[in-house]
Amino acid sequence: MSIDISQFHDVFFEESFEGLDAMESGLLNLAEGAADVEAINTIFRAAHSIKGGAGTFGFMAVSEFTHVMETLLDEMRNGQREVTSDSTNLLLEAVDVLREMLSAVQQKTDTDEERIAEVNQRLEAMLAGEKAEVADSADESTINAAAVEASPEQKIAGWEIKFHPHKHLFQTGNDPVRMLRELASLGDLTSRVSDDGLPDFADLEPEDSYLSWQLTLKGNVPKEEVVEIFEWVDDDCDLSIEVILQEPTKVEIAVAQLDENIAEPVAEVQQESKSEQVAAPVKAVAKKAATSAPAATSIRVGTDKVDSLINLVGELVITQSMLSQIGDNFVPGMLPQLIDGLAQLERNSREMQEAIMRIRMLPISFAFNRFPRLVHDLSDKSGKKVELKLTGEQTELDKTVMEKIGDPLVHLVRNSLDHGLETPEVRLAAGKDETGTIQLNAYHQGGNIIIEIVDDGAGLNEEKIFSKAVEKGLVEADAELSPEKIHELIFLPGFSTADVVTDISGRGVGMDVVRSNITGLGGSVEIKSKRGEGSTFTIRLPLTLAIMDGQTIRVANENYIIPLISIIETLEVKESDMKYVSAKGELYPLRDEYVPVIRLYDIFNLTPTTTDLEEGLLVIVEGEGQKIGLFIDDLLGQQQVVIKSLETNYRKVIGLSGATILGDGTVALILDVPGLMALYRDPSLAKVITNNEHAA
Amino acid sequence: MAKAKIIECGDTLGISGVGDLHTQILMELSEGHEIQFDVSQIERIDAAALQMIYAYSKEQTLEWNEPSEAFIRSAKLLGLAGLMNLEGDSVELTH
Repeated sequence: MSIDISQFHDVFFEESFEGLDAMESGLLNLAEGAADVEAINTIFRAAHSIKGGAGTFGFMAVSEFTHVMETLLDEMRNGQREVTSDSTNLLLEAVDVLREMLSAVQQKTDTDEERIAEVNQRLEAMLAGEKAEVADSADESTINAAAVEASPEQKIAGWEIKFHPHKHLFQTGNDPVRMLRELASLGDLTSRVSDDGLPDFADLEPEDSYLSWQLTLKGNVPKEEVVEIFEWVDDDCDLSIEVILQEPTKVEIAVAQLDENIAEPVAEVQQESKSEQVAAPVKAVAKKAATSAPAATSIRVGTDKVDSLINLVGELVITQSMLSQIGDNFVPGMLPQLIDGLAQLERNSREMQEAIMRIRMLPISFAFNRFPRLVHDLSDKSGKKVELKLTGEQTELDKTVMEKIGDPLVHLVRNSLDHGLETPEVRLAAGKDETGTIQLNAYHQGGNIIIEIVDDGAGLNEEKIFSKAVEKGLVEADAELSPEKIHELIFLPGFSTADVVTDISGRGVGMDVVRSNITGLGGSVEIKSKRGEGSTFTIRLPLTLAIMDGQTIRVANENYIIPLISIIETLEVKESDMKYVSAKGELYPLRDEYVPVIRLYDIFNLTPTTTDLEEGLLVIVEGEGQKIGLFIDDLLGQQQVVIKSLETNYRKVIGLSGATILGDGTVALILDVPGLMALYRDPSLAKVITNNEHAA
Repeated sequence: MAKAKIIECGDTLGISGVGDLHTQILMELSEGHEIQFDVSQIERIDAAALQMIYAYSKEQTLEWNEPSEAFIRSAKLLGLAGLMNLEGDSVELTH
């Protein structure tokens, strides 16, 4: 298996040079002394991206060089190091060297090794040397913190953790309750909550996170275990983890020694080694200052795409002027010309829409390209032999969807590797090739993109899943479930059957998050698995979030849109077929199942034009694996609709996912099928809608 | 004062439900109802839900009628139990 990542080199170089420019201007504007955290952060981020990119593409010299710069910047960012003109100048020089290195790699020419080595040495000297200086002048508490990891004989008494989730943390599927529960399982946990940012109840956005915590975890807990709990929220919170030592006296001794060492006029090399011993900085996952406003995302568009767009705009202008000419001197005889012109206008706008959509489309290889490395590392760690096969990397997908699908994909691949594939011995014993295969396929199907994660591992163990589900109280012990239903159980919150909780997967931050992320994108995830043969996860996603195919329907005198993807079929019903169940309301027998019927005029509080089921139509829609029938007056037509958010422009309304503007300028609301199901299950929610309608 | 409206929280309350519940509570409040939560059945509750209940409790004292152990434990984990006047000292944080 190999993928040609050289195709991304250009993008990497382009971004890196932009990053270097940003670093340079940032450094030049950096004031001495009091650190402008935001400015340093920008510089740090640029260095960080260059380092990451260089590492991915195998430019190790660049990556290693940047690493030293990054460490310096990180210390400045965390306030452990002062910004001096010396350090700024040295960093600027380093930026120059880095630029030369990147150019050399890009043009495949030689680098000036001597200069690189020289600047690198100075950077490292600064990193080591000034650390001692800082330690020298710092107060005891700083040294307390700085001395921790260096002295193995000191016992860890616990950890002080400051955990400040970013606003969107809940929405990433992470739950502090679960995390703190895991922490509490490691030792004696005390949590102090701060509600500084919590708004009044009425202004609360209930899905945003406002609280922050100061946690004290007592016990001799290895740092890795603490860090691991926060691993998944690394980018979604500000976090600092500081050690509490059992014997503070020893630290004092260390401090005293440190003072002595530095007071003596020692040779630089000596000082370096001492300071490394005692003053190694706590490499806590400190992510200070990451709270700044998120950077506006950008998209890199090939000039050919822009050119074709400009061509189309040109044609549009021509059509428009032709039409306005017809309009100015219109006589009835010109009707055919007018119709021609309008047809042309329609063609122009359609082509333009497609061209603009193409701008947002990126090949899925952007999401796939991290997997070879990931699989390589994980297989090393787990001792499993894995071959990764990628197909359909050129399949294009909307950038927003791509960004959001990355993490769920990583999760699924980790899962396949960790839970799915067996160790070489087990595989050989089962008569399989000792090397397991994980396959990532992407292709288009209708208006969707399908991504499959296929492994040839052990498949899901239904008995184990079932007994685990029973143990967790998710199903009754005597429930009879088909294998498919049992597979579905792994998507329930908090479900994890790993025998051993590994750091690859299996901490209960599981498949439920994957599923909710994917359904959040309007997609679905399904699982097929056969014992001994492997599992296939199939993700189905819309190509874009901005436009969808809709079916316009009429209810009373209002038009609504049903997403075409959720419609199964539309039928005329006979009143005599209907069944009435007191708890469930009206049911329609659709082949071998009963489908609940929702009368939309009821839900939306409209005056019905007819209440007779035989005079209208029943649209069977499916969502979350369930079917319901929507009673409507008429089907009007299918069209692509541009989705406008209701939440942004008005507020969230249960049962509606958005609105769109129809050809005649009227607004049609887009039905949210899962929301309607929720309404059906819990009619008390309907009251909210009714009241909203009144309010509106 | 109007009679308190009891919000049945069921056995699971999480982020997927808090948006709707928040709206529902606001509607009840606008109709002059006072709100109390029935958390006696809670088996699983996440931070989003606890945060919302806590936000409410800051403005209106809540009276607890047999809150479930899982509810108290979760609130304690988040350091909210004392702030929400949840008794339940018998529930220890550590496992």
